[in-house]
Amino acid sequence: MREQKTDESIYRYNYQAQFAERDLETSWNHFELREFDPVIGRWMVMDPLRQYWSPYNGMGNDPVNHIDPTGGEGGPARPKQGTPSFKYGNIEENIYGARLPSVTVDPSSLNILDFFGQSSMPIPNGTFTGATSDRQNFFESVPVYTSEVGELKNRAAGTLPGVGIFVNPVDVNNIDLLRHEFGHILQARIWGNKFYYSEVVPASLRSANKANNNRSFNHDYTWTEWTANYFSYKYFNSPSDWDKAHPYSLPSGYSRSGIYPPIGIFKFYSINTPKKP
Amino acid sequence: MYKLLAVLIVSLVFSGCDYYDYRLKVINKTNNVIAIETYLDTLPDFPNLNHAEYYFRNRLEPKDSIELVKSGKNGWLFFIEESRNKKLNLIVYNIDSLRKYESIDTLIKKRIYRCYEFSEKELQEKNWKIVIGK
Repeated sequence: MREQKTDESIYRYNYQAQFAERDLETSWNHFELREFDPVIGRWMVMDPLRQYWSPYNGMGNDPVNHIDPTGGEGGPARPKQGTPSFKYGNIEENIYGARLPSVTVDPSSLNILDFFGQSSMPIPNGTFTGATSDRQNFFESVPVYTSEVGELKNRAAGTLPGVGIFVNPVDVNNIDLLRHEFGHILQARIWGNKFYYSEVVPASLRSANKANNNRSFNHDYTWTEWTANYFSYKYFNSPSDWDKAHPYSLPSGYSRSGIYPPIGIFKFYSINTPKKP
Repeated sequence: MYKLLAVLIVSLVFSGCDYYDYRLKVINKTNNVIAIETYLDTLPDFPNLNHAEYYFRNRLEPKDSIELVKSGKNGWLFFIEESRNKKLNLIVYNIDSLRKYESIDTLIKKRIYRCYEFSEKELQEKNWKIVIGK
């Protein structure tokens, strides 16, 4: 017998506190990967990761102690961590705190080819025009460099795994931007620097340039971008203050070329994303 | 060889991987702490919303200002073109109301918000600076 009496047609954060669109006809909740029927406690589509003995099993038949936020990988419920903090050298504070002190470094000491196992190719000192004290901070132990050279002057941002994140000085405390750029760092950690520089960077640049001139083309849904957001979102334990302007999944039914990573979508979702220590 | 690689990599960074449009600035001249969101229609669209914690973090104090960001060099122009009324639809929420009801969805359901519409021409005349007054 199917009966629901609660008036929850608008409120969409009921099930495991995750946002879910509720289909008014079926009463199912739509999550990233599958539809969930909360009345019978079963997923309505097979588990793409084949985690439990039954592909329709909801939270391992233990919904009190387990969650499955996407319809992919489920696991023990645990309280969400708070908003991630900035790390500035050895100083760590919550983002709600006051502005943090900067760390002074000499960029000429950086060897940008270290990630290739090489060395001795310093970045020219003159490349950076920001004040000396603005030249380097850290986000999750990754150096964040500020500059107003080239497109960085127009608030563009870029990430070089093995080197750091590059932003305009104004954005050095922009946590939404840094979370996204840190996602590119995670891509390199998970897929390797070679894949990042040979596949991710060219595809991302092509997509970004296309989006600048084509209003119907959404750069955020190119695989290089939303997968970076996905990794970062998972790394920070699905923070509730995530900026959805940086989508970490594809909209239901969205389709165009270039939205799926070359490794395949199901293999992608089976990746065990590193978590914030 | 390595020098060439270095130049190529630095060039990649300075050609930009992610472009953003920060031209839109909102100034709070009210006495209340507010939160700002933009929509493709004059009626807020549920699926585009962030959680309440996002708005708490990005709250706008009285006399303070905030830059709103869209992805892409022409993000705001494309956003206006894409909107149903070809205007920027700016919704202002009161943070005190958000704290009380704990959900943007509830504020929308109860229509506890202020809506402003701006055409691209109006925004250019304002130099993309919107003042939220009393």
